[in-house]
Amino acid sequence: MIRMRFFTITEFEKEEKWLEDMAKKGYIYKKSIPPFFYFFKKSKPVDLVYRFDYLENKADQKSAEDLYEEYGWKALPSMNGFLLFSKPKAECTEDDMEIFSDRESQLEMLQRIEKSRLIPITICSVIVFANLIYQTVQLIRGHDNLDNFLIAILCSIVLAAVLKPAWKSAIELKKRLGA
Amino acid sequence: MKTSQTLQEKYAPLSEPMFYILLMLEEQDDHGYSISQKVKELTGNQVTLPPGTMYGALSKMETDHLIRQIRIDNKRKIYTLEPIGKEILQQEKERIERLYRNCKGEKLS
Repeated sequence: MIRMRFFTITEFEKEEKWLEDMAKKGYIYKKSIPPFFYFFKKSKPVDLVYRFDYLENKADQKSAEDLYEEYGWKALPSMNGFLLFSKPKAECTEDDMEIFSDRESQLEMLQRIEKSRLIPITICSVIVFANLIYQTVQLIRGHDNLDNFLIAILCSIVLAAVLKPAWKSAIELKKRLGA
Repeated sequence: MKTSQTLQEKYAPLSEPMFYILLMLEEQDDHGYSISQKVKELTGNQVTLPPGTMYGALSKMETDHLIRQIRIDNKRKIYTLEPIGKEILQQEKERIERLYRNCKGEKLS
């Protein structure tokens, strides 16, 4: 089964929760094609725990997956530097349901996302928003470039839709972690 | 490579996961999962080092040359303690010793 859903880059906790809810309904995550498509396999309802980690470097991703597997986590196909793991809730004791045991390492994961994703996207968006202002001015001046204006406004909307919840979620998480 | 002085400042005080990882590596070369098991046992299940925390701590300390990967055993990365890691661990032990003695009401000379 295919489901469409969008989570922005820092909404991994929401995404984990959603995948867990899907498993409870008997839909087991198979793979995804970002940004919208999730593929599930129908089975009987199960209680699974899903967790994301984020590492930019490909070599690190592989060796991290090896380490997670030793702890009984199953590595699932994920994308864009995000690593996804699952484990049956029945196999978890209270303290091995989480992949981080201190605030510091959890915060470092968020900082890796910020550094390699959120901040670069934000910098790009400044150019896109500046272009929107430029195109608007051109339009007001009566130059005939409606197409450019429409493209600029579309790009801006898409970026804003990604960035606003991304920063909101990052700030909320940081507050919770006391940073 | 950073000088040992700046590294000592960066790592003081050591986070609990990093402290225990260095402490275990001081005893013998080891891999992440085994370290986590030993720490669990040593602390009566009070300190757990789950994989996200473990991987983050190991790679950070490897980058700063506190530890070094010596070989891969059946997909497991075996780490050893480097001199700078040893120095940082020693400093931390002394700090903890001071805290402990002060906690007991002892005045240090």
